Amino acid sequence: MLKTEPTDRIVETDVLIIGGGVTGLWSSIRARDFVDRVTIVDKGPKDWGGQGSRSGGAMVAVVPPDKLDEYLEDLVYYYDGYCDQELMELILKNSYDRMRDLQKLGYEFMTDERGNLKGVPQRALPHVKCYIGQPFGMGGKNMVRVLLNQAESLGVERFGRIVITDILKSKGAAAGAIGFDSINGHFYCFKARAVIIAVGNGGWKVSYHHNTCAGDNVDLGLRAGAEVTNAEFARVWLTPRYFAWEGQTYLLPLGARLVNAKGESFMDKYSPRFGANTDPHYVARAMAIEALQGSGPFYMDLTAMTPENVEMMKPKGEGWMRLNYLKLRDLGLDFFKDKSEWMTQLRYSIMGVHADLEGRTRVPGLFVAGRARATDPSVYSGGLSLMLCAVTGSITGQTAGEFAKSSPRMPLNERRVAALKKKILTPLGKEGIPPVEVLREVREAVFPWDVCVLKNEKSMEKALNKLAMIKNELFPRMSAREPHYLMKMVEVRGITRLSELFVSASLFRKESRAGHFRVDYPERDDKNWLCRVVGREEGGTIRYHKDALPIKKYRIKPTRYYSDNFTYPRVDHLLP
Amino acid sequence: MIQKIDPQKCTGCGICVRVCPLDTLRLNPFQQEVPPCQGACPAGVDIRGYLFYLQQEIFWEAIRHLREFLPLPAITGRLCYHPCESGCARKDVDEAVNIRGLERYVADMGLEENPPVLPLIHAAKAAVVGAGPAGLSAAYFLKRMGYGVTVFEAASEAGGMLKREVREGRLPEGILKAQIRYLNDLGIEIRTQWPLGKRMSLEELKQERFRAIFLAPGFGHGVIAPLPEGLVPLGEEGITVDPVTLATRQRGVFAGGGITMERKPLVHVIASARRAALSMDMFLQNKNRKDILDPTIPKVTNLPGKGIKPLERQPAPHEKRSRAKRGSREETFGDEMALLEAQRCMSCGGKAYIAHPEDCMTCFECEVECPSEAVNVHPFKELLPMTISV
Repeated sequence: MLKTEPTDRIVETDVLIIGGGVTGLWSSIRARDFVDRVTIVDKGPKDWGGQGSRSGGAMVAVVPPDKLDEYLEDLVYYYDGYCDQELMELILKNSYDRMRDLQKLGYEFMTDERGNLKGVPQRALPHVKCYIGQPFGMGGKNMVRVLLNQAESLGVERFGRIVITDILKSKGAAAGAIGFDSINGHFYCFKARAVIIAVGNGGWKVSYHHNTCAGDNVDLGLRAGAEVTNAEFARVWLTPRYFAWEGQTYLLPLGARLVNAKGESFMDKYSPRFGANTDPHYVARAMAIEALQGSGPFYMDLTAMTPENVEMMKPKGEGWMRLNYLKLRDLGLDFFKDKSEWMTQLRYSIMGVHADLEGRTRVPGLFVAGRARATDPSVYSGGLSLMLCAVTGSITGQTAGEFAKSSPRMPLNERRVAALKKKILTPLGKEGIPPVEVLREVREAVFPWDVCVLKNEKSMEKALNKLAMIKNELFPRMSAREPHYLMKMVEVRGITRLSELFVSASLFRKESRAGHFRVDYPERDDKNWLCRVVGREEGGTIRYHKDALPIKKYRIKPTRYYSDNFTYPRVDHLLP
Repeated sequence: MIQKIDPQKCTGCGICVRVCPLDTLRLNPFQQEVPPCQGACPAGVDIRGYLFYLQQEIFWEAIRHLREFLPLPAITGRLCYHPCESGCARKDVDEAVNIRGLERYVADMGLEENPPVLPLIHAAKAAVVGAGPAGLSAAYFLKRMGYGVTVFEAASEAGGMLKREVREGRLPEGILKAQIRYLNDLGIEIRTQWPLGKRMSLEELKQERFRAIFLAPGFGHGVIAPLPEGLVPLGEEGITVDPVTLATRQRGVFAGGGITMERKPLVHVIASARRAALSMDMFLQNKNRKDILDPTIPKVTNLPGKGIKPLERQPAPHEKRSRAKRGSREETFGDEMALLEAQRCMSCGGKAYIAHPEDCMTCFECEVECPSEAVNVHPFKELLPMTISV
């Protein structure tokens, strides 16, 4: 046992799950029903539980006697008809079972006086009910804890702080993955019969909530030969300019007003029906238009809230929100008394690895679950995420478990592994540009409103040029003094790829729908675009094709569209 | 964005480092103040330091660091009565860390290593009389300081009192042999069947240009005539040495181990051999620094414990067996158990610091989870490119 230098670690397993968040944990628990060895590997701390641990722990579910079709109809409307009804139906159908699983594991949902589960209807979706986890605001951590305990008791092996860089294949099928430990630089090789990508959605690593979302899902998937879809959809969010605040979805119906520099509730002009109490993508469009006309900046005005409502919305408990609130107050900023400047910001991506209902990608042995796959056109509704992570996590755990059980272990090409290892670790110890500075350049390219909010061809072409320049000029000069920076470097490469996908798929979809708005194609175009945009890597470039939704097969024919509640003036003349 | 981790309040527990999803924080366990385990270790081993490396699976650094303090770690990892564990602050949370088991694990990892010969960086040479634990230890520390060292042993094999441990089944012979081989590899010459007085007198040794001599022939082994003037002994009272410098009354001659009649546990013998080596170094370099030999060491006062989740102590394999079967001392922790056990070390007095401030993304996780209110995150977030700039 000579360990006088870094050594390679070889881990053999049946099902390898990349990502130890809510999805990965669900997958691991289910996969154990079929195979003995299930391994989770995460780039973050071993026990942190991914983005879900930061969430409120609220989950949508179809609890009897509620009707699945009513939920589905709401979603078809909200998604402007762009809804994978088979997938959503499957998710909704299994949602209550997963909720009960959670209860059995010790997770508590809020109940009414009579002890019945208390569902909260969602904004614009009268039938979709969300169930709040206990204690309020800390539910995510609790949910992760009960899932971790269950995975632990089933003997799921877990590794933290390990960055997976490549999926390994053998004879065209996924056979494992390789990566390195971001603390000590150990090289890891996982040999598996099935691999699940459960790394969550990608993004730009913005402050607070989604600060770990890089481009891991699509980067790993595409390079392994899988397809990517919904790349044109990204989440644009409303946030205070200088600090973080969660809960606008609750503030707005309680009397909070989002106003422009003139003090006008500007959203009333764009949607007399909803005003600002709507999906933030629609608000962001209005904000961009207002700003172009000189009516920015924007503020959240809480003066119209009643003292009772203010009291109700004051953050409580042990979590970060109260800490944040008190710190701001110490700085002389009382969130509920002072007007705070709000802005819109590109936060994370919705794109995912393309898969069938049960999570199979087009690469045998490679599966995808949770937010790492694409499920919606980026309009937001609370609690949908944890539902789809639970259900797709569990289903894909089963698919992968069954696959692994019936598949022989594939031999790995050791020479290729050695070559990849060399490639991964080569940048270590070199001087150069820190990855975080390259990330800054990438954000500069895609964050502007004309690239991500009021999308238009010219601006997007420019953004693509900038991204290409970043790749050519900066990538070769990026450095990784220590394994920590090597991790950041892998992330920046992934984020750059994700950014290119976001912009190029946005260019490809020549219409506007749900979270995607083209100034040059402002209308919805069902005839040509009621389809997925599917991307595939061919010879180093991404090629897109359309994959029409089988509307004829669907029970619910789209007749109502959420976007019909909004009208925007033409702003072509104001574009840069 | 994270602003500060207050070193006064930080106890070294490492929770913030572990929970940061962006790997922004790190811990520095190398601090002036010694933790209670180190304070309780007669040899002053920086347990906090080598366990820190072990926690991060930087095995090679763990071994290297342990060897800075211990000449025969695979042996002390088996035979030491581990007073360190009675000092361990983890006792107040659940149970002391299994430090001896971990020492043995770390030491055994390097057992087969063939180290390069250490370079000579001094002109003077030192002689050590007696290849028991005291002599071998002194030779090791002197060699590390860069002196040429020769050990003279009366018996046909090195080991001294350690051979009794082998005979009585407390120490596997292979371990003793491996540790002696390691010392040989470093460039320490051991001449066996070389009883002082018979083959050569002390004066004759000096003629061989050994300017400092450490006498550690053990108790009851005859250091026989001609005994130099003033170095009387070897009767009932043992030899007399200065308690701080371990110098005998004869210039350049030091003594330790059994010859001084101090029958003490192994780790004390090593501690005193280390002190002798330091003392000999001062003599050879004409330095007069008794303070180095008897330093006042500040202790960690703000100990971790609050907010630490209990974790079960991992027994080493030999501890789990019945007494009768304890013969197998080859066994040690498996990797998994060793790493689990290492995680229990709270690195008392270590200090968390912001290693990568540019990676912070204001999630407050470190501050929320810190049990000591040491972390301060400013609520203003990072200034990213604006989506709409007005």
